Amino acid sequence: MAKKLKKILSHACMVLGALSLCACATSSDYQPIKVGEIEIHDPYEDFNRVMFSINEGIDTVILNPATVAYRTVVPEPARKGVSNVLDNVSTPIYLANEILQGDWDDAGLVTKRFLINSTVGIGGLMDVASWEGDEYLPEDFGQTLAVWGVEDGPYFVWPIFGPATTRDSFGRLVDRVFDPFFWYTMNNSDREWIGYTKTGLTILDTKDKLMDAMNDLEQNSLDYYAAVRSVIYQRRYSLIKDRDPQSDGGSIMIPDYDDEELFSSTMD
Amino acid sequence: MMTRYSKALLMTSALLSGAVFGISYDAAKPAQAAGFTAQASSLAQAEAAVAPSAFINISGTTRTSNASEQLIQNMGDEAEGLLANGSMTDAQRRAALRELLVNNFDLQTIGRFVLGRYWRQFSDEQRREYFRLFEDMIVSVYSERFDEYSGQDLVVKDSRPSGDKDMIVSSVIKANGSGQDIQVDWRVRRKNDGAYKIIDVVVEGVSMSVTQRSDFSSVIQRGGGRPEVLLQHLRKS
Repeated sequence: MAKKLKKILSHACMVLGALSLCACATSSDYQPIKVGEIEIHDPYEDFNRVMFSINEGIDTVILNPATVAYRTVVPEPARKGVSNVLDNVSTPIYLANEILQGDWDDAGLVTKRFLINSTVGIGGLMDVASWEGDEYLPEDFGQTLAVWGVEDGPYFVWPIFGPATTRDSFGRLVDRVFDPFFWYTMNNSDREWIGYTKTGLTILDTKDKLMDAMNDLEQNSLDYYAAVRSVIYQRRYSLIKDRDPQSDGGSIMIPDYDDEELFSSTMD
Repeated sequence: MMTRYSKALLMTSALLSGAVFGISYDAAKPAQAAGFTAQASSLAQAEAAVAPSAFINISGTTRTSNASEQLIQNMGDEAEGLLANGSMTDAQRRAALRELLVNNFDLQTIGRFVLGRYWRQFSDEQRREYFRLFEDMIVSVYSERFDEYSGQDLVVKDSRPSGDKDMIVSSVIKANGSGQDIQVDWRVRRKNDGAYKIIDVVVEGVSMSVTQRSDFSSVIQRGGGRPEVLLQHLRKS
């Protein structure tokens, strides 16, 4: 298992290395962009913008109507139940990543959540654990890689899956491959439908949570693509730091302009 | 296997009975939620987040709160009052909301921050227009959100200092029923004249000011670095 992991990691490094070489041969006047204190790289911006609007098209035509239908057909408590079950079933991934990050406290919390929600929460339908403050703790391999010090890599907008950094895209892939649920359903041909159902529900569940926020952002931003990119980086950064309240919000330094003149009487 | 199972059951029944007796696990942070509930949209767990959707009601903190916390609390109360006031016309409500926003948000600091390094390239005339348009935009955005959500529970949790002049007030928007709680942090700055104003809102780790800054600087940069390009966009919206 460790050998396999090492092999995958070395492949990953090669891929990342190749991609960063490619980064030199892209949008001609590419410069890194600052999002707050975070420096981001979007060398494929022209391509990404095109893919982004294609995804918007897919949303408008397929995914958003499907989500609206989902909301109409399935009432809120049931949707919440779906969401909770999907979260519960992802416990092995969260746990594995907490352990890989050496975060024993959160590993314990994730386990506790799983135990409580699976039993009292009836197979994960109810998120009982969060009633006492043991909140949802999503973890993924992208975050693990970040904790290990792997660089973001360039920002990339995938068809359908949407935008992610290279590191996080790779992380999602790894999580998928190592998910015991995935192996179980794919190895039993008569259980495959479970896997597909889970994928379908995951898409709907994610869209259900995101759709309003995304529409809001679209209407209220001047450059929707740039706004989404910024939000993604901020959100990832916050998840990676496990939303440590001490560092949250404090990492954004808004300078003190009080002693500055806003308007000059002479222009320089 | 049996013992683990029964341990889990014991633990959970203990927890549940705790809940029944109203023991809050947040006992360390005594803050009471108000009783107004409404449609909640679950932004929490969302990978993308936007600035908070409503100004909400808070009431009855059981400990003395500092000036920054009170600012948030009072703003929530005022906003709730606006919502509940059935005798106002839409125009009156909008005007009252504008006043609320201008009084509580430091739109000049936010606007200045959002422009970032392009500030210097704006002439005085452009700066004046920019601030006008910026204020209009903020009011328009928040009026819309205001209309959509008729009020949710906001619980001011605590606050902590950040730098010389800022306090970060942590609050939670309690979801109605089955949704999830949303963390909202407000960055409140004590201005030179003693007033307290909000200069940033952070929802689930995403800052409104930083996001807008990314947005605007992308517009300007793609427009060849010319301030006029941004102003054109703002005039249109």
